[in-house]
Amino acid sequence: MSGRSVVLLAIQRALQEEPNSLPKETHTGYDRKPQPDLTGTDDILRRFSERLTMVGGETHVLSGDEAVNCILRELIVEFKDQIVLLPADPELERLGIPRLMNEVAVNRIQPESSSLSLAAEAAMGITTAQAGIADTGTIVLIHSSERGRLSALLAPVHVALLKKEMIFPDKITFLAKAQQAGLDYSATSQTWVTGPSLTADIEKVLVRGAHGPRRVIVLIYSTDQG
Amino acid sequence: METTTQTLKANIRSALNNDRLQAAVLKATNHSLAKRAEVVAELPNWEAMRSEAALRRDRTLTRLDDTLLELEKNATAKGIQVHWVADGEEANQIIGQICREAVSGSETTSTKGEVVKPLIAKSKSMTTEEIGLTPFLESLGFEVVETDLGEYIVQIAGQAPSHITAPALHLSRQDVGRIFVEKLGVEYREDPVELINIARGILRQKFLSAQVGITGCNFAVAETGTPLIVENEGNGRLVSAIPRVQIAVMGIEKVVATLDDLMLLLELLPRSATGQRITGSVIFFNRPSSSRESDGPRELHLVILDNGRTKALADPKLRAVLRCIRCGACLNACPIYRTTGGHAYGWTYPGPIGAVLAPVFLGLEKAKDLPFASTLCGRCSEICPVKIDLHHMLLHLRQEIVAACPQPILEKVMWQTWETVMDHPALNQALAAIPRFLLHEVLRSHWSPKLPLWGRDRSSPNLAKESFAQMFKREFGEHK
Amino acid sequence: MALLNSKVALFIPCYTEQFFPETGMALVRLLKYFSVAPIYVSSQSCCGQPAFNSGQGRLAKPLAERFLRLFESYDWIVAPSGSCVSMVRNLYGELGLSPQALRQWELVRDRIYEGTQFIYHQLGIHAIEGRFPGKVALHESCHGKRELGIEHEPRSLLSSITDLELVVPPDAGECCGFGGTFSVKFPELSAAIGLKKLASAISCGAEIITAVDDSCLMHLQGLAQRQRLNIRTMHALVIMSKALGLE
Ligand code: SF4
Repeated sequence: MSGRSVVLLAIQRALQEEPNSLPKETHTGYDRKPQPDLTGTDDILRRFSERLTMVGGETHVLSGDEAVNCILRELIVEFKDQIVLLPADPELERLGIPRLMNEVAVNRIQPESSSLSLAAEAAMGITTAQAGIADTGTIVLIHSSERGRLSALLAPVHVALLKKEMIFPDKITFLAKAQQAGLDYSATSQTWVTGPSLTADIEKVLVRGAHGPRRVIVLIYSTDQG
Repeated sequence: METTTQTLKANIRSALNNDRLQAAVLKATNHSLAKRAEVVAELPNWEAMRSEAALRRDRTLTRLDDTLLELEKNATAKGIQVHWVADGEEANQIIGQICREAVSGSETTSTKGEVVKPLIAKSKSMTTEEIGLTPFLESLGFEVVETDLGEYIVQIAGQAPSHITAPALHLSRQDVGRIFVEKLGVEYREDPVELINIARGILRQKFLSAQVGITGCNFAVAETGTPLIVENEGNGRLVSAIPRVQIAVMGIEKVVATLDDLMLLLELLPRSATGQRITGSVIFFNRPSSSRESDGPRELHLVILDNGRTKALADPKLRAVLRCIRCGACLNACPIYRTTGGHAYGWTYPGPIGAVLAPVFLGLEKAKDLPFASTLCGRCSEICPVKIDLHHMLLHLRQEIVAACPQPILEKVMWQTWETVMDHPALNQALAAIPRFLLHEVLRSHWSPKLPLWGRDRSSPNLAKESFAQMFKREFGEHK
Repeated sequence: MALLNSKVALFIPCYTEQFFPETGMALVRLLKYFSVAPIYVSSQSCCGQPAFNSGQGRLAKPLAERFLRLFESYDWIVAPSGSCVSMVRNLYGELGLSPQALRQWELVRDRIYEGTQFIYHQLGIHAIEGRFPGKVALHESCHGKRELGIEHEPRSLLSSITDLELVVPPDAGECCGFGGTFSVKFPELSAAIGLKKLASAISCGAEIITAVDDSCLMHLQGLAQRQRLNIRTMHALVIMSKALGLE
């Protein structure tokens, strides 16, 4: 017999012996309706920033592509002559970030087409985030051929660009609305990232920057003033 | 693995003699409890969430076969390879096979001509500890690296994790410093940041050359066919990003029916485990990477393990233990764990959850002492986010153990005598007629420090000059 | 008072009977002081907890059935121990009782009360108008706290006493390390846990540590004596009865 049928049989036998251990009372008083205080966009934004800041992340709220370029320039300048990871993400292209990087003279590499050991030397990675969850300050990275995992992971600094309208009040609302918003949850692998990587494995001392980024900077932007 | 009465007692004694360990454990568990309390307090419906989670876990358990089949169907449809295994031995064989295939054809000698062992990077997983996967893979000629920093520290120290979510909780920074000097040949230092940096540097190289990534699986969502893990360090992300073959190992109970169930558990788990609202990352392994993706596993395997879990499933008194989401809160709250740390338990899962799982997984005979190593104070059941009645399960297991395992004759006789006396008022009264000073002397000599029924550290209580019955009669006369 | 005509029985745990009779007497005196005349059924013995706790449920069963037979006909049963009350209320169902005993249990389980709970809820006494000088640390015995939900009862009763300073150490709700059979099987561990408890009470400046269970106190007293610690134990009911001068 295959492992599969052995395990299934064992489960079915166990369930036959004790078919129903559920309590009759199934009302637990649990109410999963989203937090009532997070309805307006401003509330949601504020909560997102507040929660991300609490776990050591940074946020900037920007309106317009120009503002995004401006702040990115400031951030990148620090990394002149160093390696910055930039995936072949059309949205990054649209925002003119590759051009910006040439101007600032950072050493831009696409992790998709370069060696792993070179990518591992990067000082910064810039990616888009496909959604945000305000209640926890979480960004959702949905992986695809244009949006690999490594740009957000290998460098000590991760800058994520997040569209303002893609921030949802909480996890449950995110899952309910992701589909409508064009994000197919189950289609691709994804990572929910909340703040810098961290460890408290030695005497519970919090150390930010474990195997992943030490700094996570989320640029929340609206494309045009609308 | 096996715990005997002797090893358990010896383990406890060695923990009690180790002040450094006790201080580290107490400090760490207190820290976790305090952080947990903060984030639990901000949710007014915490208790309702616990009840709901317990209910939903139970619901899934009552249709575990269908739920797992749904998981399998949906995962397979997306190209995830699902393997069912009855026990640890089978799991190891299959995982070993996958690893062998993954590295076949890749060169095994370095430029200098020495043999380079193919590298497997692991992220923290208690399930793989349970089945002894690492030593098994090492025996096949792989180099296996634990990448969770705490787990890495215990791995190089040659120890086992002492806590299910914080493997190196029993070590002080000085301990870690000394381990690094001895095992890594670096200069002594004790600043946690510096120590972490050293380990990170070493592990970064390992990540880059790992050929297979092995992860646990905190949950697997049946309706979408999605295994997932939660972690903080980013090692789980790297293990599932760089190697082109990834294996996730789960116990059968890790399946959840819906994303909605998952969201509830994702509120409970990080809060209970580390006092976080959410962990630094939640990684959903929805499918293997396509050929157009430059990272992520091309081959994604999900190993579904029984290894004794169906024994709990079949037992109405123990089934609920499969609700466990391995948060470790019951360890932090347990007066025993807080005093001895995790190694005293002598097997993979310490603390109250471990004392319940041991007799189930290892058999009553092999784990006959662990359920007795508890004061039944109930802190574990009180704190458990999925409301497992841990201490009553321990009490139940004690009955099973006494019924199934040979008991010391002396103990048997003692209990039987006690019952007879207690059940017969006439006998009781006859005893009461013995002059109390005499009884007192008998008790004192028997309970003396030389025959320490109560140990050396504690005086035995004094038999009162008059029993309550005598006092009551003298003072009020009336009796019934 | 409605209770005036009801039959209130005492249940005196086996260790209280032999080692701490004054706790039982304190309960009697308090009840009488509040106009309740308790009945003592002298053929009572043990609730069966020590056996059940040790895995000897088979031996606990006849004792439980005996308990239920003896106490079935009373309106209330009061015991100076949260632990024994919890055994009767919450665990008798696990013993495989005879159908008759199960019927009796359904009645008895709602009528059995720990002393401070009975005084607080059934007698409606929320304050003790007496005096007891001293700094007293509260130990919230596990079974009382977690199985019976005892929390504010001893707190309000004790803190209402004149000149009594009640302190609640941060670890008040943690186990003292007694655990019945555990204290015999793992004496060193049991002692280590108890010493932490005592140290914390002492560091709060307490001279006395109190609880609603003599089992915890017996263990803590034994430790304090052997280690020559500057703290004594006293059952909450004894403090209350002393405060009222009921000796
Ligand atoms: S038994 Fe409960 S508290 Fe303990 S690890 Fe499992 S879920 Fe957490």
